[in-house]
Amino acid sequence: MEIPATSAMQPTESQSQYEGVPSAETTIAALVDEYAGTLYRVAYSVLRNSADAEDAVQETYLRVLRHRDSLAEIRDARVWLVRIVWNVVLDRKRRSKTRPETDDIADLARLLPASGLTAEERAVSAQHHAHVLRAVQQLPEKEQRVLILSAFEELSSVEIAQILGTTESTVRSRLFRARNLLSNLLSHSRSVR
Amino acid sequence: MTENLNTETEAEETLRLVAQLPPPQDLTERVHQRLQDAQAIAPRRGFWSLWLPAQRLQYAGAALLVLAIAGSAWTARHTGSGTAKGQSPVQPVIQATPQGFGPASSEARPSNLKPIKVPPAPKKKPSASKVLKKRTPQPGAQAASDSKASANQ
Repeated sequence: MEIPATSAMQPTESQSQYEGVPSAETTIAALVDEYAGTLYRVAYSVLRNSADAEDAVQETYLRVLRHRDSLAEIRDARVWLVRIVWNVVLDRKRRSKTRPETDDIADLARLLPASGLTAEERAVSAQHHAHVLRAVQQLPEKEQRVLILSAFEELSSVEIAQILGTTESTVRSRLFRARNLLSNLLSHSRSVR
Repeated sequence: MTENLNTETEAEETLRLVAQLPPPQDLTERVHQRLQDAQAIAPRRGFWSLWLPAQRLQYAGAALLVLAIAGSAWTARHTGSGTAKGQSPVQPVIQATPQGFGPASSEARPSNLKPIKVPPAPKKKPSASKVLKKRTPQPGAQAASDSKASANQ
């Protein structure tokens, strides 16, 4: 595998240690500049805590630094990085399983953009978002993961499959099941209300 | 059906909004800083600096303990028993009596116990009076022996 020479990964003359050959540190710096934001958003969508998400991003790049010798073998750096951050995030999530989720969901729903809405409409919108996020929380783990990753527009189903270590058809079927389950959960809760 | 589709779209819209939340402004700077710190620490680490001082003390303590145990074992081996090197004292084999309980007078004697051979005590020299008595024949006895001899002839 080889890392494609993206614009962000090409170092400036002053950055490179040897002429024409970027050092591993320069390559990692370029990866930080290009993908730190994406990795943060992936981490945040699962952890729903800004400090934890940032920690996860930093840990991801520290892991990359530890494996800098094998950087040249990486073909798709973006998918590779998202896969690392995904594993870091799931590991953290597993460790902090006891933490109550309810408050996080309510906080997150309040954070979501609601421009052009009145205060009352914002409150209703936040309530709706919280309701959806709680329903997502109730989905089986595998379906939930696929649904969360599919919300990232920059990730195709092939890339999601690579991140999760499955096939594209599995991702598609899980996504289909997740959507069905989610709509059932939401319509059921609506009828109850 | 349409309602389900709407619900799906709404739900996915929420997830999309979550996925689009902007990262903190100084995120990349902080990550760069963290990486620089990690790189600065790495080369300073020599063989000994991998251990913290407390850990070094622990290792030194453990090494002392091992030395003390080894030393005491060596001392016990070389000064303790008088047995020859490499030989362990042989334990006597206790033979079980063939018919259970033996008589009260029976003596349990281990098979490896060999009886001690005691040389016979030297005979005492006879006293002078006894020697004389043997040498001088008594008159009655001499007559009796003479009569026995003539009768035989």
